[in-house]
Amino acid sequence: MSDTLFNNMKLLSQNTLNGFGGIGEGISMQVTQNGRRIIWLAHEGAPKNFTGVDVTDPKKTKVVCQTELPHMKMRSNSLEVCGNILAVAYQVYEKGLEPAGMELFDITKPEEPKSIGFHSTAGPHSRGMHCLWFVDGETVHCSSGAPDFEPKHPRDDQFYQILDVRNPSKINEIGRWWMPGSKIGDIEELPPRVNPEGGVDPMGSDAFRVHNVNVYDERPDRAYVGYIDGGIFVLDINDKSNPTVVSNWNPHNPYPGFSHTALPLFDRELIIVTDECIKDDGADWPKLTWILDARNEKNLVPISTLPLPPVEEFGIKGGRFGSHNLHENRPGPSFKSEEILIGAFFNAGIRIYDIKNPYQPQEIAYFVPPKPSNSRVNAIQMNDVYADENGLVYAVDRWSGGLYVLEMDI
Amino acid sequence: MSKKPSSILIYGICETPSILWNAHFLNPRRNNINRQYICLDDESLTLRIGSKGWLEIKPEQLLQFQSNYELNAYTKEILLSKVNAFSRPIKNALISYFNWVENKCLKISKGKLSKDIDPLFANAEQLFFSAYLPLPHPKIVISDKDGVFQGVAHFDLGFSISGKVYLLTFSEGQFIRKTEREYREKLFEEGKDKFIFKDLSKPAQNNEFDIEFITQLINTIPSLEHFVQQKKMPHGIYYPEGVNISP
Repeated sequence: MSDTLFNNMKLLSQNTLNGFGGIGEGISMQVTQNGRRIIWLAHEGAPKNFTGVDVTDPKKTKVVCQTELPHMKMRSNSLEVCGNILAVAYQVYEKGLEPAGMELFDITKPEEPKSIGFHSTAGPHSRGMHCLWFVDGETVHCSSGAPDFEPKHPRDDQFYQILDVRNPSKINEIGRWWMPGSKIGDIEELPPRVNPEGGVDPMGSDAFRVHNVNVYDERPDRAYVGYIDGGIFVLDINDKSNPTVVSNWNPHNPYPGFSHTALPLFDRELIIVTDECIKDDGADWPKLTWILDARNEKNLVPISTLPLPPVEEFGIKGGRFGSHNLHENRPGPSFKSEEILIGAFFNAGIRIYDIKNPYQPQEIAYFVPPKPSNSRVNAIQMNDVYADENGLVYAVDRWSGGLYVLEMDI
Repeated sequence: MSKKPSSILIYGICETPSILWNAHFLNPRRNNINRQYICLDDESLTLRIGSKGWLEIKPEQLLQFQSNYELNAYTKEILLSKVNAFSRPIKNALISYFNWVENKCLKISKGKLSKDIDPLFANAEQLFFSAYLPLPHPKIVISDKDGVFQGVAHFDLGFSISGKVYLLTFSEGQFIRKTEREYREKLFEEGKDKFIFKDLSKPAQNNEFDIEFITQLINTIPSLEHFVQQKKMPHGIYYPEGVNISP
């Protein structure tokens, strides 16, 4: 670990997950009835679906469950745990393939997840589901295509859907919203595309589609939606069957696109927005994390960005460099703060910021491990992060490093 | 190096508390109450809305007010302006507190007046100035034995009544940084008889009078209710120099 860069963070353990250490952007914690702590992880790609790791002893973690995907042309990428229910998103690499959508599992016995429900969003123009949010035990808010949705551009296929999952055997879509102009038949025009490259390849870099949706108990009538090149949207979902736009904030262009997460801090009336880095070697630098003044939710104002380490050093270190996922203050066994932000920044590792003064965010800790064995790029690629209520940080590498359990000293 | 003075309570918006401490350290003034901080050297310090020093207002400014109601509104506005823009619960707490005080003043003024209260000053708008002064964002300076600034212990709302300093937070289980925990520990260790700390549930969002919040506030600081207990009534926010009105 001599190549590790760190400040006010300490590695307690690493688990490479039986050699399948490539993890997507799904990390969620379950506390079982007998007090065991299980971290559930969604894999970046096939063949593995999801893995459960017992982290009750954070220095000695143990894989207790690892599942397989039905085929190699799909990925799970995103998951959430609520109580003893695990929701997993399925996205396919070619439109029309199945299974695509979401599966629910009963994980009362973590070693034996039992499928209890499936909702298909497969269709001729759908890649299925990319990301989901499930914190109330009743509703899933997600980014997905649908059988009846044909986008004008093939990369704009995943839109906001609200699913009622109270009866896992009969999951119903109860609401949907997309950026006007993105669906065939819409009379509106979308804005000019930010990075019009890659033709109609679904994997190309520009898109007007949903990435993350966050909905909290504090404001159950609001959805905070990262809409990639559409910026972020605050939606009024008081009537879930008819979401309406409260506001939109979009720095793209001139900024290089891919709004990923919109994290509201309700007491402080701030919204934190990440733009995901999607290109290696600093090619899409700067991918920033923005702090928005949201005191007037109809007029969001950017007031600062989180400081990043030097592009001269990290831009050429290998893989991606820049913002991605944040710890999202979700309900449950979760770290909660409106002054401390914990983020995953690919080759810049896990970084922690104090935003007590939101005009001048301060970096207070970081952990950047060396390139994990068997990674396809030359540096760590911290992809997602979760912190529990005890301040332990769970971070994952995108390609091979698996799970890193860290302790903050802040 | 001067002798280490008593600590200070900085209130309102302050990004660099060391500036205030260093200024105070170089020129300590006993019993000083100003627009940015309060000296904690008075063993019986009670701060009321009508106390002198926290708000500087010139006689010509006073002349612009047509009524006590306008003066009250101005006073509240100044206190609210001391709340950081991104601290909604503190703002809500002040609004709720002001509403509670005003309701209480109204009840007192319409009820049977105690013989200790001068009827001339017993209208609700003037009674308002007797209520205890809420201090948003109180920060107590921690210094070493030589008086060198170490840091501040931050809180959300404070009151100073009869020498006791009440320090409240609305943390709702949120993470508190290590340095903050250490400063608080040091503060309470050194001033266990002076400082009273309580973590309260935050007031409801957008609620002008959150009775649950006020109830827990009064349960924590029962003396808040008993602000009208004296003959000599504070009756405004301006006291001419030389007139000895101890609030």
